[in-house]
Amino acid sequence: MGGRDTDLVLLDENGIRCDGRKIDEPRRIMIKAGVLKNADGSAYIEFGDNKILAGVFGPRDVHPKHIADTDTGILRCRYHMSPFSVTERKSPAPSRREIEISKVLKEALQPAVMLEQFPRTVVDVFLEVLQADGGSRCAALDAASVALADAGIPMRDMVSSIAAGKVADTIILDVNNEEDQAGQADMPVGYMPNLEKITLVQLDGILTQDEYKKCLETAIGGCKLVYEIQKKALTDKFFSNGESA
Amino acid sequence: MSESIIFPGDRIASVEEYEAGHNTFDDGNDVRATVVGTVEIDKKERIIHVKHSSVISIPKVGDIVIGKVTAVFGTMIAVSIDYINGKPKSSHVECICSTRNLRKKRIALVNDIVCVRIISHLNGAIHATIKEPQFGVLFTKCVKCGRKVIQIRDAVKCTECSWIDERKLSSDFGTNYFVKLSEK
Repeated sequence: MGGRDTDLVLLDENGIRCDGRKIDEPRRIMIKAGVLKNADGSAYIEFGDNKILAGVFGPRDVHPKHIADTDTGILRCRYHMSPFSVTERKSPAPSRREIEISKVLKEALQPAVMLEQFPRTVVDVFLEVLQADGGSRCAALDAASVALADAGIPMRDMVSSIAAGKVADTIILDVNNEEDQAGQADMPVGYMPNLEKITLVQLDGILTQDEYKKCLETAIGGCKLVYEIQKKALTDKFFSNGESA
Repeated sequence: MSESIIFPGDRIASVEEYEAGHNTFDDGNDVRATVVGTVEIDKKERIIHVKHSSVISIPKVGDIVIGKVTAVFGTMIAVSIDYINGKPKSSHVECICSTRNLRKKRIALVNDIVCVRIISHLNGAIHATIKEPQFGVLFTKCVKCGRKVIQIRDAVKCTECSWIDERKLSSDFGTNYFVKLSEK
Protein backbone atom coordinates (compact mmCIF):
# COMPACT_ATOMS: atom_id res chain seq x y z
CA MET A 1 0.00 0.00 0.00
CA GLY A 2 1.07 3.55 -0.48
CA GLY A 3 1.17 3.89 -4.25
CA ARG A 4 3.33 1.14 -5.66
CA ASP A 5 4.77 2.07 -9.10
CA THR A 6 2.70 0.54 -11.86
CA ASP A 7 1.97 1.05 -15.56
CA LEU A 8 -1.72 0.51 -14.89
CA VAL A 9 -3.84 3.68 -15.02
CA LEU A 10 -5.92 3.34 -11.88
CA LEU A 11 -8.00 6.43 -12.52
CA ASP A 12 -8.17 8.29 -15.84
CA GLU A 13 -8.88 12.00 -16.42
CA ASN A 14 -12.63 11.25 -16.81
CA GLY A 15 -12.80 9.68 -13.36
CA ILE A 16 -13.08 6.15 -14.75
CA ARG A 17 -11.23 3.40 -12.91
CA CYS A 18 -9.10 0.58 -14.30
CA ASP A 19 -12.07 -1.78 -14.51
CA GLY A 20 -14.38 0.82 -16.07
CA ARG A 21 -16.25 1.78 -12.92
CA LYS A 22 -16.94 5.31 -11.65
CA ILE A 23 -15.36 6.33 -8.37
CA ASP A 24 -18.51 5.68 -6.32
CA GLU A 25 -19.63 2.58 -8.13
CA PRO A 26 -19.38 -0.84 -6.48
CA ARG A 27 -18.66 -4.04 -8.40
CA ARG A 28 -21.51 -6.37 -9.35
CA ILE A 29 -22.87 -8.06 -6.23
CA MET A 30 -24.99 -11.20 -6.19
CA ILE A 31 -26.00 -12.98 -2.98
CA LYS A 32 -27.96 -16.21 -2.68
CA ALA A 33 -29.13 -17.50 0.68
CA GLY A 34 -29.71 -21.13 1.67
CA VAL A 35 -27.31 -22.86 -0.71
CA LEU A 36 -25.99 -25.59 1.61
CA LYS A 37 -28.35 -28.35 2.69
CA ASN A 38 -26.34 -29.56 5.68
CA ALA A 39 -25.70 -26.15 7.23
CA ASP A 40 -28.21 -24.43 9.51
CA GLY A 41 -27.76 -21.28 7.42
CA SER A 42 -25.73 -20.52 4.34
CA ALA A 43 -25.07 -17.99 1.65
CA TYR A 44 -23.10 -17.63 -1.56
CA ILE A 45 -21.79 -14.27 -2.66
CA GLU A 46 -20.27 -13.04 -5.88
CA PHE A 47 -18.70 -9.67 -5.21
CA GLY A 48 -17.00 -8.67 -8.44
CA ASP A 49 -14.76 -11.65 -9.11
CA ASN A 50 -14.83 -12.78 -5.47
CA LYS A 51 -16.77 -15.99 -4.98
CA ILE A 52 -17.37 -16.98 -1.37
CA LEU A 53 -19.46 -19.59 0.40
CA ALA A 54 -20.61 -19.08 3.98
CA GLY A 55 -21.98 -21.80 6.22
CA VAL A 56 -23.40 -21.31 9.71
CA PHE A 57 -23.85 -24.10 12.25
CA GLY A 58 -25.45 -23.70 15.62
CA PRO A 59 -26.14 -22.72 18.27
CA ARG A 60 -24.74 -26.11 19.18
CA ASP A 61 -22.79 -27.94 21.83
CA VAL A 62 -19.27 -26.58 22.34
CA HIS A 63 -16.26 -28.80 21.75
CA PRO A 64 -13.85 -28.69 23.49
CA LYS A 65 -16.18 -28.16 26.43
CA HIS A 66 -13.77 -26.08 28.48
CA ILE A 67 -14.15 -23.12 26.09
CA ALA A 68 -17.90 -22.90 26.77
CA ASP A 69 -19.01 -19.70 28.47
CA THR A 70 -21.70 -20.08 31.15
CA ASP A 71 -22.96 -16.51 30.62
CA THR A 72 -23.12 -16.31 26.85
CA GLY A 73 -22.68 -18.21 23.64
CA ILE A 74 -19.48 -17.95 21.67
CA LEU A 75 -18.92 -17.15 18.04
CA ARG A 76 -16.25 -18.93 16.04
CA CYS A 77 -15.28 -17.78 12.61
CA ARG A 78 -13.09 -19.56 10.08
CA TYR A 79 -12.06 -17.68 6.95
CA HIS A 80 -10.29 -19.96 4.54
CA MET A 81 -9.00 -19.52 1.02
CA SER A 82 -9.21 -22.57 -1.21
CA PRO A 83 -5.96 -23.68 -2.87
CA PHE A 84 -7.48 -22.74 -6.24
CA SER A 85 -8.80 -19.32 -5.15
CA VAL A 86 -5.74 -17.43 -6.38
CA THR A 87 -3.54 -17.72 -9.50
CA GLU A 88 -0.74 -19.61 -7.76
CA ARG A 89 -1.70 -22.53 -5.55
CA LYS A 90 -2.29 -21.46 -1.98
CA SER A 91 -1.42 -23.88 0.77
CA PRO A 92 -4.64 -25.05 2.42
CA ALA A 93 -3.09 -24.65 5.86
CA PRO A 94 -4.32 -21.52 7.66
CA SER A 95 -1.95 -18.65 6.94
CA ARG A 96 -1.21 -15.68 9.20
CA ARG A 97 -3.51 -13.56 7.02
CA GLU A 98 -6.39 -16.04 7.23
CA ILE A 99 -6.08 -16.30 11.01
CA GLU A 100 -6.13 -12.52 11.25
CA ILE A 101 -9.15 -12.17 8.97
CA SER A 102 -11.00 -14.89 10.91
CA LYS A 103 -10.47 -12.88 14.09
CA VAL A 104 -11.45 -9.61 12.45
CA LEU A 105 -14.65 -11.10 11.00
CA LYS A 106 -15.57 -12.65 14.33
CA GLU A 107 -15.20 -9.28 16.03
CA ALA A 108 -17.19 -7.59 13.26
CA LEU A 109 -20.10 -10.03 13.62
CA GLN A 110 -20.11 -10.29 17.41
CA PRO A 111 -21.89 -6.97 18.12
CA ALA A 112 -24.75 -8.02 15.85
CA VAL A 113 -25.35 -11.58 17.07
CA MET A 114 -27.37 -11.98 20.28
CA LEU A 115 -25.19 -14.69 21.75
CA GLU A 116 -26.32 -14.00 25.30
CA GLN A 117 -29.51 -15.92 24.50
CA PHE A 118 -27.55 -19.15 24.11
CA PRO A 119 -25.16 -19.68 27.01
CA ARG A 120 -22.79 -22.67 26.83
CA THR A 121 -23.25 -22.99 23.08
CA VAL A 122 -21.28 -22.02 19.99
CA VAL A 123 -22.21 -20.54 16.63
CA ASP A 124 -19.72 -21.57 13.97
CA VAL A 125 -19.31 -19.49 10.83
CA PHE A 126 -17.29 -21.06 8.02
CA LEU A 127 -16.21 -18.87 5.13
CA GLU A 128 -14.65 -20.52 2.12
CA VAL A 129 -13.16 -18.26 -0.52
CA LEU A 130 -13.52 -20.05 -3.85
CA GLN A 131 -12.13 -17.18 -5.90
CA ALA A 132 -10.39 -14.08 -4.55
CA ASP A 133 -10.19 -10.66 -6.14
CA GLY A 134 -9.50 -8.02 -3.50
CA GLY A 135 -12.01 -7.09 -0.81
CA SER A 136 -12.69 -10.70 0.09
CA ARG A 137 -13.00 -9.94 3.80
CA CYS A 138 -15.85 -7.51 3.11
CA ALA A 139 -17.55 -9.98 0.79
CA ALA A 140 -17.10 -12.74 3.39
CA LEU A 141 -18.66 -10.53 6.07
CA ASP A 142 -21.66 -9.81 3.84
CA ALA A 143 -22.13 -13.51 3.15
CA ALA A 144 -21.70 -14.43 6.83
CA SER A 145 -24.36 -11.93 7.84
CA VAL A 146 -26.86 -13.36 5.33
CA ALA A 147 -26.01 -16.92 6.42
CA LEU A 148 -26.61 -16.03 10.08
CA ALA A 149 -29.98 -14.49 9.21
CA ASP A 150 -30.77 -17.57 7.10
CA ALA A 151 -30.02 -19.79 10.11
CA GLY A 152 -32.53 -17.80 12.17
CA ILE A 153 -29.95 -16.74 14.71
CA PRO A 154 -31.21 -13.63 16.52
CA MET A 155 -29.32 -10.52 15.44
CA ARG A 156 -29.52 -6.91 16.49
CA ASP A 157 -28.96 -5.89 12.89
CA MET A 158 -27.45 -7.18 9.69
CA VAL A 159 -23.80 -6.39 9.08
CA SER A 160 -23.05 -4.95 5.66
CA SER A 161 -19.52 -4.38 4.53
CA ILE A 162 -17.59 -2.80 1.72
CA ALA A 163 -14.21 -1.16 1.34
CA ALA A 164 -13.40 2.38 0.34
CA GLY A 165 -9.92 3.57 -0.58
CA LYS A 166 -7.70 6.14 -2.15
CA VAL A 167 -6.39 5.91 -5.65
CA ALA A 168 -4.64 8.76 -7.52
CA ASP A 169 -5.49 11.07 -4.60
CA THR A 170 -9.19 10.32 -5.05
CA ILE A 171 -11.49 8.51 -2.62
CA ILE A 172 -13.13 5.54 -4.31
CA LEU A 173 -15.73 2.96 -3.33
CA ASP A 174 -15.10 -0.81 -3.44
CA VAL A 175 -11.39 -1.33 -3.98
CA ASN A 176 -10.56 -4.12 -6.41
CA ASN A 177 -7.40 -6.22 -6.46
CA GLU A 178 -5.36 -3.87 -8.70
CA GLU A 179 -6.37 -0.82 -6.67
CA ASP A 180 -5.60 -2.72 -3.46
CA GLN A 181 -2.11 -3.59 -4.71
CA ALA A 182 -1.21 -0.26 -6.32
CA GLY A 183 -3.51 2.25 -4.62
CA GLN A 184 -2.71 4.62 -1.77
CA ALA A 185 -5.15 3.39 0.87
CA ASP A 186 -7.70 0.65 1.54
CA MET A 187 -10.34 0.89 4.26
CA PRO A 188 -12.71 -2.07 4.81
CA VAL A 189 -15.78 -1.03 6.81
CA GLY A 190 -18.47 -3.15 8.47
CA TYR A 191 -21.68 -1.34 9.30
CA MET A 192 -25.03 -2.07 10.92
CA PRO A 193 -27.39 0.00 8.74
CA ASN A 194 -30.43 0.19 11.03
CA LEU A 195 -28.55 0.87 14.25
CA GLU A 196 -26.07 3.07 12.38
CA LYS A 197 -23.13 1.50 14.13
CA ILE A 198 -19.75 0.54 12.75
CA THR A 199 -18.46 -2.94 13.60
CA LEU A 200 -15.30 -2.99 11.52
CA VAL A 201 -12.83 -0.36 10.38
CA GLN A 202 -9.39 -1.19 9.13
CA LEU A 203 -7.08 1.14 7.31
CA ASP A 204 -4.10 0.19 5.24
CA GLY A 205 -2.44 3.35 3.95
CA ILE A 206 -2.23 6.98 4.90
CA LEU A 207 -5.13 9.43 4.80
CA THR A 208 -5.55 12.98 6.03
CA GLN A 209 -8.35 13.68 8.51
CA ASP A 210 -10.62 14.99 5.75
CA GLU A 211 -9.82 12.05 3.50
CA TYR A 212 -10.48 9.64 6.36
CA LYS A 213 -13.87 11.21 6.99
CA LYS A 214 -14.79 11.12 3.31
CA CYS A 215 -13.53 7.58 2.96
CA LEU A 216 -15.68 6.44 5.89
CA GLU A 217 -18.75 8.23 4.53
CA THR A 218 -18.19 6.67 1.12
CA ALA A 219 -17.88 3.20 2.66
CA ILE A 220 -21.02 3.68 4.77
CA GLY A 221 -22.92 4.75 1.65
CA GLY A 222 -21.66 1.56 -0.04
CA CYS A 223 -22.71 -0.57 2.94
CA LYS A 224 -26.26 0.74 2.53
CA LEU A 225 -26.22 -0.44 -1.10
CA VAL A 226 -24.96 -3.86 -0.02
CA TYR A 227 -27.68 -4.04 2.66
CA GLU A 228 -30.39 -3.76 0.00
CA ILE A 229 -28.83 -6.71 -1.87
CA GLN A 230 -28.63 -8.73 1.36
CA LYS A 231 -32.31 -8.03 2.02
CA LYS A 232 -33.21 -9.13 -1.50
CA ALA A 233 -31.31 -12.40 -1.04
CA LEU A 234 -33.20 -13.15 2.18
CA THR A 235 -36.54 -12.16 0.65
CA ASP A 236 -35.89 -14.53 -2.26
CA LYS A 237 -35.04 -17.33 0.18
CA PHE A 238 -37.93 -16.94 2.60
CA PHE A 239 -40.72 -15.39 0.58
CA SER A 240 -40.43 -16.68 -2.96
CA ASN A 241 -42.22 -19.83 -4.27
CA GLY A 242 -45.10 -19.22 -1.89
CA GLU A 243 -42.96 -20.01 1.14
CA SER A 244 -43.57 -17.69 4.03
CA ALA A 245 -41.91 -17.09 7.35
CA MET B 1 -47.17 -9.20 1.81
CA SER B 2 -43.91 -7.53 0.93
CA GLU B 3 -44.69 -4.61 3.24
CA SER B 4 -44.81 -6.88 6.27
CA ILE B 5 -41.46 -8.60 5.58
CA ILE B 6 -38.90 -7.46 8.06
CA PHE B 7 -35.21 -8.12 8.60
CA PRO B 8 -32.96 -8.19 11.66
CA GLY B 9 -32.62 -4.69 13.04
CA ASP B 10 -35.72 -3.28 11.33
CA ARG B 11 -37.68 -0.91 13.53
CA ILE B 12 -41.21 -2.21 14.11
CA ALA B 13 -42.61 0.18 16.70
CA SER B 14 -41.74 2.48 19.54
CA VAL B 15 -41.34 1.01 23.03
CA GLU B 16 -44.11 3.40 24.10
CA GLU B 17 -46.53 1.68 21.72
CA TYR B 18 -45.71 -2.01 22.08
CA GLU B 19 -43.61 -4.45 24.08
CA ALA B 20 -41.06 -6.74 22.49
CA GLY B 21 -42.28 -10.33 22.09
CA HIS B 22 -40.84 -13.36 20.28
CA ASN B 23 -37.95 -12.67 17.91
CA THR B 24 -37.81 -8.98 18.81
CA PHE B 25 -35.83 -6.81 21.16
CA ASP B 26 -36.05 -3.28 22.37
CA ASP B 27 -33.02 -1.05 22.11
CA GLY B 28 -34.34 1.45 24.65
CA ASN B 29 -36.29 3.46 22.09
CA ASP B 30 -37.69 1.09 19.50
CA VAL B 31 -38.88 -2.49 19.19
CA ARG B 32 -36.78 -4.14 16.51
CA ALA B 33 -36.80 -7.51 14.80
CA THR B 34 -34.06 -10.08 15.42
CA VAL B 35 -34.88 -12.45 12.55
CA VAL B 36 -36.26 -12.38 9.02
CA GLY B 37 -39.99 -12.82 9.12
CA THR B 38 -43.40 -11.26 9.28
CA VAL B 39 -44.84 -9.10 12.03
CA GLU B 40 -47.64 -10.30 14.26
CA ILE B 41 -49.18 -7.71 16.53
CA ASP B 42 -51.09 -8.72 19.65
CA LYS B 43 -53.16 -5.57 20.03
CA LYS B 44 -54.86 -6.81 23.19
CA GLU B 45 -51.64 -7.44 25.09
CA ARG B 46 -49.78 -4.79 23.04
CA ILE B 47 -46.92 -7.14 22.21
CA ILE B 48 -45.14 -7.50 18.89
CA HIS B 49 -43.92 -10.88 17.69
CA VAL B 50 -42.04 -11.81 14.55
CA LYS B 51 -42.96 -15.07 12.85
CA HIS B 52 -40.03 -16.93 11.38
CA SER B 53 -39.98 -20.28 9.60
CA SER B 54 -36.70 -21.86 10.73
CA VAL B 55 -36.32 -22.89 14.36
CA ILE B 56 -32.96 -22.92 16.09
CA SER B 57 -31.86 -26.01 17.95
CA ILE B 58 -32.24 -24.68 21.49
CA PRO B 59 -35.40 -25.92 23.25
CA LYS B 60 -37.83 -23.44 24.74
CA VAL B 61 -39.65 -23.74 28.04
CA GLY B 62 -42.43 -26.30 27.68
CA ASP B 63 -40.78 -28.22 24.84
CA ILE B 64 -40.66 -32.01 25.16
CA VAL B 65 -37.22 -33.33 24.31
CA ILE B 66 -35.72 -36.76 23.84
CA GLY B 67 -32.06 -37.37 24.35
CA LYS B 68 -29.30 -39.56 25.61
CA VAL B 69 -28.16 -39.49 29.23
CA THR B 70 -24.55 -38.28 29.22
CA ALA B 71 -23.90 -38.10 32.96
CA VAL B 72 -25.57 -39.25 36.16
CA PHE B 73 -24.94 -37.30 39.35
CA GLY B 74 -26.33 -37.76 42.86
CA THR B 75 -29.46 -35.67 42.35
CA MET B 76 -29.49 -34.90 38.66
CA ILE B 77 -28.88 -36.30 35.22
CA ALA B 78 -27.46 -34.56 32.15
CA VAL B 79 -29.20 -35.22 28.85
CA SER B 80 -27.80 -34.54 25.38
CA ILE B 81 -30.79 -33.46 23.30
CA ASP B 82 -31.51 -35.34 20.07
CA TYR B 83 -35.18 -34.49 19.43
CA ILE B 84 -37.17 -31.36 20.24
CA ASN B 85 -40.95 -31.87 20.02
CA GLY B 86 -40.34 -34.93 17.85
CA LYS B 87 -38.05 -33.15 15.36
CA PRO B 88 -34.44 -34.33 15.11
CA LYS B 89 -31.78 -31.79 16.06
CA SER B 90 -28.05 -32.02 15.53
CA SER B 91 -26.99 -29.35 18.02
CA HIS B 92 -26.66 -31.87 20.90
CA VAL B 93 -27.00 -29.19 23.55
CA GLU B 94 -27.36 -30.55 27.05
CA CYS B 95 -30.04 -30.05 29.65
CA ILE B 96 -29.97 -31.04 33.29
CA CYS B 97 -32.80 -32.79 35.01
CA SER B 98 -33.27 -32.86 38.76
CA THR B 99 -33.97 -36.29 40.26
CA ARG B 100 -33.96 -35.15 43.87
CA ASN B 101 -37.52 -36.08 44.91
CA LEU B 102 -37.87 -39.28 42.94
CA ARG B 103 -37.76 -42.19 45.34
CA LYS B 104 -35.68 -44.47 43.20
CA LYS B 105 -32.10 -45.59 43.50
CA ARG B 106 -31.51 -45.50 39.76
CA ILE B 107 -33.46 -42.98 37.71
CA ALA B 108 -31.49 -43.58 34.52
CA LEU B 109 -28.06 -44.72 33.48
CA VAL B 110 -25.55 -43.21 31.08
CA ASN B 111 -26.57 -43.90 27.45
CA ASP B 112 -30.22 -44.47 28.34
CA ILE B 113 -32.65 -42.61 26.10
CA VAL B 114 -35.00 -40.42 28.08
CA CYS B 115 -37.90 -38.10 27.47
CA VAL B 116 -38.09 -34.90 29.55
CA ARG B 117 -39.85 -31.54 29.49
CA ILE B 118 -37.96 -28.23 29.59
CA ILE B 119 -38.98 -26.12 32.58
CA SER B 120 -36.53 -23.21 32.62
CA HIS B 121 -33.39 -21.57 31.34
CA LEU B 122 -31.54 -20.64 34.49
CA ASN B 123 -27.95 -19.54 35.15
CA GLY B 124 -26.86 -20.54 31.68
CA ALA B 125 -28.24 -24.06 31.98
CA ILE B 126 -31.36 -25.63 30.52
CA HIS B 127 -33.40 -27.29 33.25
CA ALA B 128 -35.85 -30.11 32.63
CA THR B 129 -38.23 -32.30 34.59
CA ILE B 130 -38.70 -36.05 34.44
CA LYS B 131 -41.36 -36.29 37.13
CA GLU B 132 -44.56 -36.67 35.11
CA PRO B 133 -45.65 -40.18 34.04
CA GLN B 134 -44.97 -39.70 30.31
CA PHE B 135 -41.40 -38.62 31.06
CA GLY B 136 -38.59 -40.98 31.91
CA VAL B 137 -36.58 -43.72 30.30
CA LEU B 138 -37.67 -44.76 26.80
CA PHE B 139 -34.87 -47.20 26.15
CA THR B 140 -32.30 -48.88 28.35
CA LYS B 141 -30.22 -52.05 28.55
CA CYS B 142 -29.33 -54.46 31.30
CA VAL B 143 -26.72 -52.97 33.61
CA LYS B 144 -25.14 -56.41 34.13
CA CYS B 145 -24.97 -57.99 30.67
CA GLY B 146 -26.01 -55.17 28.32
CA ARG B 147 -28.86 -57.20 26.79
CA LYS B 148 -32.48 -56.31 26.13
CA VAL B 149 -34.77 -55.56 29.06
CA ILE B 150 -38.53 -55.73 29.48
CA GLN B 151 -40.77 -53.69 31.74
CA ILE B 152 -42.05 -55.20 34.97
CA ARG B 153 -44.21 -52.61 36.72
CA ASP B 154 -41.79 -49.79 37.71
CA ALA B 155 -38.66 -51.81 37.00
CA VAL B 156 -36.92 -53.53 34.12
CA LYS B 157 -35.89 -57.16 33.85
CA CYS B 158 -33.17 -58.53 31.63
CA THR B 159 -34.37 -61.11 29.13
CA GLU B 160 -31.03 -62.94 29.33
CA CYS B 161 -29.73 -62.80 32.91
CA SER B 162 -33.07 -61.95 34.61
CA TRP B 163 -31.48 -59.09 36.51
CA ILE B 164 -34.14 -56.73 37.82
CA ASP B 165 -33.23 -53.08 38.04
CA GLU B 166 -34.92 -49.79 38.85
CA ARG B 167 -35.53 -46.95 36.37
CA LYS B 168 -37.90 -44.01 36.16
CA LEU B 169 -39.73 -45.43 33.17
CA SER B 170 -41.79 -43.35 30.79
CA SER B 171 -45.33 -44.42 30.00
CA ASP B 172 -44.02 -44.59 26.41
CA PHE B 173 -41.25 -47.06 27.34
CA GLY B 174 -40.56 -49.31 24.39
CA THR B 175 -43.26 -47.73 22.23
CA ASN B 176 -43.59 -44.88 19.78
CA TYR B 177 -40.67 -42.60 20.69
CA PHE B 178 -38.28 -45.50 20.92
CA VAL B 179 -39.31 -46.68 17.46
CA LYS B 180 -38.43 -43.26 16.01
CA LEU B 181 -35.05 -43.23 17.70
CA SER B 182 -34.19 -46.76 16.64
CA GLU B 183 -34.79 -45.74 13.01
CA LYS B 184 -32.18 -42.99 13.33
